[in-house]
Amino acid sequence: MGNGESGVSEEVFKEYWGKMKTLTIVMLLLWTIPAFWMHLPVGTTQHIRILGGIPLHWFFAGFVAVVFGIALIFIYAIIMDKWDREILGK
Amino acid sequence: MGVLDEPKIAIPAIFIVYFVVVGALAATGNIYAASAVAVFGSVLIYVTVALVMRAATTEAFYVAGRDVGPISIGSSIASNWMSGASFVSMAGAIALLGYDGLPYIIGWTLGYVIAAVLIAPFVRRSGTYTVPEFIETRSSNWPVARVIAVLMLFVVSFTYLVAQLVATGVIIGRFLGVPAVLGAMLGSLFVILFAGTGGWRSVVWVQVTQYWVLIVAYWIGFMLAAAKAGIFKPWPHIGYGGLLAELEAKETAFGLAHFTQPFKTSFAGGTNLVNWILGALALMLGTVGLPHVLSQFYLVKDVRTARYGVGWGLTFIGLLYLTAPVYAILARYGFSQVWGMPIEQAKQVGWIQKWLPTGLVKIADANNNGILDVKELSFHKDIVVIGMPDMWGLAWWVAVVVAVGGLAAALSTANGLLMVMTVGATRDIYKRFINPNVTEEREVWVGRGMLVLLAAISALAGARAIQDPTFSKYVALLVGWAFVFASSLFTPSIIMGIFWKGLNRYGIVAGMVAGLLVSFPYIAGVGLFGMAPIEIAGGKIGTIAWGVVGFLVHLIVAVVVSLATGGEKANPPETIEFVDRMKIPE
Repeated sequence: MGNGESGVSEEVFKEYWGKMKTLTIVMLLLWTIPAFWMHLPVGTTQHIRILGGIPLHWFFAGFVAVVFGIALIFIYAIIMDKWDREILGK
Repeated sequence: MGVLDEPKIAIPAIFIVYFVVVGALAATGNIYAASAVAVFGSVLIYVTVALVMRAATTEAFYVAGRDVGPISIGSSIASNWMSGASFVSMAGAIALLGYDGLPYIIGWTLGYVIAAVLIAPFVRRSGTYTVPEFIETRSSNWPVARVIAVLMLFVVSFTYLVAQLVATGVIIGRFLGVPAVLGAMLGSLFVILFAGTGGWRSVVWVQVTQYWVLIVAYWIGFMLAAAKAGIFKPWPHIGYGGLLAELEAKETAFGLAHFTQPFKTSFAGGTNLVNWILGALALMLGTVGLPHVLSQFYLVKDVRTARYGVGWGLTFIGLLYLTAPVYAILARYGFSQVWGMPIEQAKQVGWIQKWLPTGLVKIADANNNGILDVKELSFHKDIVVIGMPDMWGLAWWVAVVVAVGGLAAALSTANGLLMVMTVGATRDIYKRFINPNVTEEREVWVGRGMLVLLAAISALAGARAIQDPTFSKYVALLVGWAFVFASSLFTPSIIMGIFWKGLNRYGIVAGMVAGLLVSFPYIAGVGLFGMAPIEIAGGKIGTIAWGVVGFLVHLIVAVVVSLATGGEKANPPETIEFVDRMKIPE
């Protein structure tokens, strides 16, 4: 187990943490789309039919929202992974 | 035990033996023997995996040696998460509730996004072994916080485990014609076998195996039914529009509201859009505060694996959760086929004939017109998955596959819960408060002892729940409330503990207490004592949706009390260092 010393200077770490905080906030804001905003206009989306008869509100909650969430996690993982490699000089 | 030391030989070998034996029995036409061997043989596979992966170090016992890779931990996260109820009842709950049941789908999945971004990588980097240990360390080594966390962990995990053992008992019982109580006892014995061998290290690999068994089983039944229903246009998950239109035409003809129409029934005692959204949010916030969910983030190799692992975990959960709504429509369509049929004719329909005696389907000619009106056909939610093979006229072995999958789902969750409680009892109570100088070997043996004890207690409670409907009702209620407790007691302080150095021990405990005081009276009052729910925008706020209120109150109280007691200055340097260390890349 590491003891917390990864040889990163204070200054570099501050910049890294700043970028990371921004990314975290962006991700949480994006998360509110499938968790929240997507379902608010249910009064309208329930009358819209897609894919040969599936009501949009149903498809949003039963399919799109979850796929959206999966995509968010992988995007976050890929970006963080890149930044981790950069800062550690790998 | 020579061959058991080589996972790459032993695990495929036991699978091959399984398929050969079950196949041979089936080929000779011995259906009952083939079914029994298929169900119990699957347990033998898990025991083999547990033995192959056995280990005796505390690092292996508590955190699986911290060397699980991303796809493996993803499978383990998914099977740990998806319970017997997810497998057997989720599609049925949606078939009953329609759009009003969909908060379960988004609520039980999107929490993992919060976990991936705000919790998993940091918890892994914290160097602690358990959630209560994390909370104690973060609250500047205040033992009280750890004890509260352990108690909470036990209440939540125990009720959840009892529900899993009930599900195991019902599946084994229904399938082999033995009493469900015996099935529940067997279930707890199986779990002891999986977990006693190597603690988390065995359990995590058993869970990986169980995930693939359960998802293949779920999909086999689904895909075959989908093919019969003709919804491969081009793929069932996006091709059911035509079938749904047929169903809706039928609903209109019988004067019913459309299945997908929002807010025609209630969700956890509440109504309308506000309750729907708050209910889903509460499930999400609760998910990330559940100890058995958080504990998985300790098992991974590194921070990178924690991030990708959660992604794979949600992907694998999605394979089932995105299928359940389509499953529900297939089932609802199946039901609609018998609406308006003469009662006597309906009773002759294959699946009704088979399941009528079990009480999972009920027919009553209330108005004595000899016709099966919509209201005269009622069904239990479990019939959707269990009865699907019969409803769509699939081969007999599909029902066996479904039973094996349901058993895998119930056992995999039971494994994880039992391990979380065992680790809590051993590391957070025994080693922390009773015998801190215990040797590693003895500690693992104490762990195994705790495991057997906890499994025995839960088996008794499971048996009680099967026999006593009142007790069973309280178990079911508590499982639902677990999310409210988790989001009100744990989630806010865990997240703030990682991101805000100003949070101190006074804030954490005040927040937890406030969360409890806000959540418990409301859910007990509304859920048990018939108190009228609070209304927002004309809709009633149900018990689950209230979890969001508990979350916010905890958050606000923790912030205010921390600031009032000196904020960051009240934290000793070790605590500040603990928070900093979680953020350094590795």
